[in-house]
Amino acid sequence: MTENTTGGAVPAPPPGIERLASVTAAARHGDSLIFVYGSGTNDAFADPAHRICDIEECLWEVLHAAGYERIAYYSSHQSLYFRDDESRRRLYPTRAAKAADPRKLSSSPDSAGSPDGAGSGRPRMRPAFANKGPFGDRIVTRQPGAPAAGETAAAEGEASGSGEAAADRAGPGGRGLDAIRRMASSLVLPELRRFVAAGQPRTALVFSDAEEAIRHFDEGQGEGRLLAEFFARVVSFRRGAEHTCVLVFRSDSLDQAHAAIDRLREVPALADKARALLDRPGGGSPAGQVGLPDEQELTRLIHCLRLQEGLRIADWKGLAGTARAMTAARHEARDWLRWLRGLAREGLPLDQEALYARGHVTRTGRSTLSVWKQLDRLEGLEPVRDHVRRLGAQVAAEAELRRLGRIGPNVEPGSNHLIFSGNPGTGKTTVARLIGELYRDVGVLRGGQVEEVLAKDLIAEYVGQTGARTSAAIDRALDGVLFIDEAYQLSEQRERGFGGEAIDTLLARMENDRDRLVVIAAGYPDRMEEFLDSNPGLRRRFPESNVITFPDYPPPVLLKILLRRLEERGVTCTPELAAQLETVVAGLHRTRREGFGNAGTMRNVADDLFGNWSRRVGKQVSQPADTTDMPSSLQAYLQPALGSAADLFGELDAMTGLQPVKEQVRGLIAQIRLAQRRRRPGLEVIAPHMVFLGPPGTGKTTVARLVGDIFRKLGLLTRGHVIEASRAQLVAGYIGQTAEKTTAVIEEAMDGVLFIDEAYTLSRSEGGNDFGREAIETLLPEMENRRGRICVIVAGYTREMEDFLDTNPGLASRFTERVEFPNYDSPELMQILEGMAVAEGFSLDASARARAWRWLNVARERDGDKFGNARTARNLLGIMRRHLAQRALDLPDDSPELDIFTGQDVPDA
Amino acid sequence: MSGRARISVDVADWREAQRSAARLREVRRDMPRMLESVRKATEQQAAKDRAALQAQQAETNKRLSALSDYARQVETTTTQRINAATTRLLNEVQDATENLRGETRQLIEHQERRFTAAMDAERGERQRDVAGLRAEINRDRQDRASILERARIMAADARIMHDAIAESLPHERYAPGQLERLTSRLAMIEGNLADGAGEAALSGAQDAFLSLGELRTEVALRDAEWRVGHLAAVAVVTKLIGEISAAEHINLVDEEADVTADLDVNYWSNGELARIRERATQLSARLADEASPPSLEKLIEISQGEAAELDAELSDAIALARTRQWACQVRVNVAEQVVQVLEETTPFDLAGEPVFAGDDQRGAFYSKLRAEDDSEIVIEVAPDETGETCVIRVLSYESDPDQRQQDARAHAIAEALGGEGLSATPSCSPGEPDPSYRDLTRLRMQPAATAVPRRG
Repeated sequence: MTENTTGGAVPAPPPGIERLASVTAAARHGDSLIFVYGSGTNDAFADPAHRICDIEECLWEVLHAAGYERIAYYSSHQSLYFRDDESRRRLYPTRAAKAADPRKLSSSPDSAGSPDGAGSGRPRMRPAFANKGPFGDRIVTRQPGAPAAGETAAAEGEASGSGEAAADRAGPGGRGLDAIRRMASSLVLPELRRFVAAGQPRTALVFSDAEEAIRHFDEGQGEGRLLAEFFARVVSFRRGAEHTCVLVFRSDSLDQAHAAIDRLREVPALADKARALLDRPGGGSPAGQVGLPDEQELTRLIHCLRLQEGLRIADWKGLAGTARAMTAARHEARDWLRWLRGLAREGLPLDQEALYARGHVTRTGRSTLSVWKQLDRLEGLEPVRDHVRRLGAQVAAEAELRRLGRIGPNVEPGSNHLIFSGNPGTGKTTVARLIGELYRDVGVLRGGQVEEVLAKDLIAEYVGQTGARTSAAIDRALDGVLFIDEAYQLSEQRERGFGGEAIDTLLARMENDRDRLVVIAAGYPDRMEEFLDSNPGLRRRFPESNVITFPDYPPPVLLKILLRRLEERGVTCTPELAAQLETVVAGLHRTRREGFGNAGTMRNVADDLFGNWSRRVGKQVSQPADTTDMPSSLQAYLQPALGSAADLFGELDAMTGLQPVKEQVRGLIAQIRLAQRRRRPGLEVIAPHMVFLGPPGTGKTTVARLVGDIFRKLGLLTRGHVIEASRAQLVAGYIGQTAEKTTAVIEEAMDGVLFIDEAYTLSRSEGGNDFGREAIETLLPEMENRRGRICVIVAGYTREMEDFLDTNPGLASRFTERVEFPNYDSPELMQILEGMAVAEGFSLDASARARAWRWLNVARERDGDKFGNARTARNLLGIMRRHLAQRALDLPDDSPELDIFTGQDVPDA
Repeated sequence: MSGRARISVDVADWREAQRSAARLREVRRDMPRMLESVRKATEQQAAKDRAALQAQQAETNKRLSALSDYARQVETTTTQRINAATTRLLNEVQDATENLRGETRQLIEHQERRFTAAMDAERGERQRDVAGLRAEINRDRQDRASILERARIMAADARIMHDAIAESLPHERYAPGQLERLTSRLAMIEGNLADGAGEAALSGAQDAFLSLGELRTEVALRDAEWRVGHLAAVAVVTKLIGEISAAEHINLVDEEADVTADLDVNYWSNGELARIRERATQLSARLADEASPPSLEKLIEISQGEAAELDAELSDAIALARTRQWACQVRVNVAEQVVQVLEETTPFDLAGEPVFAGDDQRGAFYSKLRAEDDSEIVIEVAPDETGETCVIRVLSYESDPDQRQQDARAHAIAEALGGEGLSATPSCSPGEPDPSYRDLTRLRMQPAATAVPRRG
């Protein structure tokens, strides 16, 4: 941020105002251009001499101490002015004599138009002119009653509540002088050039509102270029000219300073230099940034008010804690000044309680409980708690070792940056705040505030802006925690957008500001891995041990959050509703997907329920919410009252044969019911994935449909529908398409059953490609990710399926339930055939029955493993139907034979 | 070397700034004395007129006392009516002038009509009176001798009336030639009487008496009419002269700013006041000229035309003086502002006392600034050709002149004036300014320029 033109050894700086340390260093270095920016530039300061001063006074001290003999100020409002007689005298030998007000060039007491002049209070002309006109010293060019421009500015400043500062900047308040000063900026340039000419005593020029000044010059006639030339001249080395320009930008961040500097583009060399200073690679410490007061300065401020305005201290022992709490609250010193003055005026002693009571320090940032106790109270975050405890102990130990001098200052400490990996709403921000406080408590951070940003907020649309935006966020977070939510977006936009720029800036500042900055990057678990992999520097800054995984909240915690939200909104629940909510929450948890909103989802449920309840009860708000208020979208999670086994298994039982299948399914369902009834915490009851083994035509598809229905009835699947898919539906002809195709089918089957018939074909390569394997590789993780949301049933010949399951170890482990479908025996097949015929309104006579029996047996023997069972029976029925149709051509319409298969209709075996 | 920047202040804004001058309250210190002098002058003139009228009437009455009884009776009534009318009119004029009421002119305006009405009324009365007389005579004209006697009496009355008019009334001034015509008629009647032609003489004498009576009334009323007009004109002109005197020193009070200033109207109006006073004095002299008194028409023209015109010119002169005096203060203000701008924004500082050219506040105002390197800037704030707004010239005498800086200065000055509500347009011209302007002492000593041209 600063440019050293003189070099040389730099003596240790005297104690100064902490937040001006970098400016002080730059001044002592003799930097020819010093940028000062940040919210603090408008703040009050408590200096080491226990005086309250503004930035200009502070800069005077800094520059004076750095050996500058003449210090002049320029602002767009006040033009040139001084804060000390010596500088004025050295720059304006003749004029200094007549000046009385050391601060202002023009404000001699006899100055024209001084509204606070002596006499009646009306503006008067100065003596040299006072006796010239017929009306003496009367100023007649101003409309009566109209305030002078300076007065207006002061008045407005007063109204806006920043009276002191505004009045201070409004200048001497002469009539129309503001206008004069603003427009006369161009006339100042020759003066400025004169000040910084070679051979002149060391001069510092402070542009106390750099943005405005540059804007004014730029709006003048080609004066922007002249100003840029001027700066270029100052920056370039000239023998015998050791001057400096201090540009005070009143903006919070570098962005605006950039924008102002961009106006100087007519002299590219300067703009480049300026940008280089502002963006110095690696950032440096953010030299020139003036932020909020730190603990030491606030302590001085307290003492200033104690000594000068009688502020009483309630708790001397707790004073350090009070100052820390004040620091953590991140208010400007001028706010504290006002508030502490209020305490002094009212005779109230200062302690943390007084500040809490007045809301100047909030408990969110600093609970009265210790950080550790707060951690203990976090529910459902046990793993996080343990991790943070371990981390805290480690950091504390390291800090203590340093304090004792057991480790040298040059030994790089362990990284304090953290990855919070977890779904939204899992308490990451809360924990981040605690981390801030924890780090402050153990001395890692001075402030401990948490600056929360979304990754996308760091990324700008145009080249070059992202770095500045990221830096600005970092600047705000200094001495505290920068919490980047959805940090993976930075790496996702690395190639296409400017995410890489943000990461580079972040890494540089993490290195350069390692004593003042802790970064916590948060996001979905798997995507955070991608984030860490995107830049080797990230892995180094965020070691594996600093990755904290936030599990989704378990259902009881979720339920508690939901009920608390309802309570907060003033709604009570009937016991029935509470019971239903428990079921719903369990269902939501079971069926949650990636990105499950946890606490956020609970709040949404509560709010939906509140909406229904309020519509129902109107103004009768004493009525509790009941089950009728349950949002319709959640009804699916409610288990219907399970009826008898007949309700559940009626259809399955009605199927022909399949006795072993029926038994296996019954057994499985019984287990599930038992688990559901026992309700063991932490034991999730979900729909299992299944393998149906057996030859074709043995009712696997039908059973799959029934299973889906049963699972729906058990509340394990919200829809229970069946999507049938074979290789053709899952596998595509080109690389990459298969995954998409498979995922689409999975999506279709969500909350129901995905039935993949002849699944073994997926493991066989066809025509040299192994796209089938791609389908399996897509399917497997999804089965895990969408556990509870989908039931996958793979089906096929027993042997082929065994081979299939063996091709991938993940497969066998995921399909936990196997159901064997045996071949139908002959009576069963006959029963099936007759059943199908009856369903179509036909019947078989004895000869037809005998021939069909024979035909089916011959077919079974002939086809062996390929025998189609019910499918073969269906084929036979089709042949019989054709034969009957042929024969029926000769029959009259009312012939009863039209509905009866005879032996003729059954082909020869 | 270059350095002349000319800045014209926009007239409309200038006027706006000047409008605040209207807040000044004028105090004319001589006003009470002026009012008293007007009252006195009017009173004196009225007294003089009354005395003259009384003397005239006494003379007429004395001469008419020889009339026959009946005729005397008629004429006494007439005399009373004329006296009453004259006195009333004179009193009205006097009242109006004494209170300086605005009706004086109105009175004069309506005088002609009022006199005509009075004449008609009087004529009607007389004809009724004379008709009565004639009827009485006719009733008695039985015999020739008595007719002749009647004719002789009537002719004698006519003669008395004739002589009274001829001797005591300014008939030639108000009814020139009329008496002469009646004189020859009267001679013819008297001839008829001598011839004993009684009938003819009687009717002729009756007509002549009637005509002479009317002539007497007309002359008396016309005289009164003139005197009223004269008195009114005297009042108007006296008042005008009084106002001129009062305007010589006006005290201006700006109560809001607690400032007072003397307004020397003659000075600020470039002698306009003296010119008005001279013309007013001439009017007064003409009114006082008894040798050739102005006609009634002339009187009306004086009071309604010339004096009114001078009155308006006086108001204009005062307003002009006020404006110019105010403009002078504005010039000083502007100069101070300009100097301040330059002091604020350049290394130049005011050097020495600012001066008026020729030490005359009506002229241009000069201030000089000097820098350490002895470069100088002279600021001239001069009245423009109307004298009501101003033109600022920035004359730069620099060792290292920079046209851009000079332009910037001019713009800064214009902007600063803009901040005071005066929109100003700067224009810069290269070229070396006249070095003689650097010497403010010389500028002050030079003969006062007739910098302020006369308006209109």
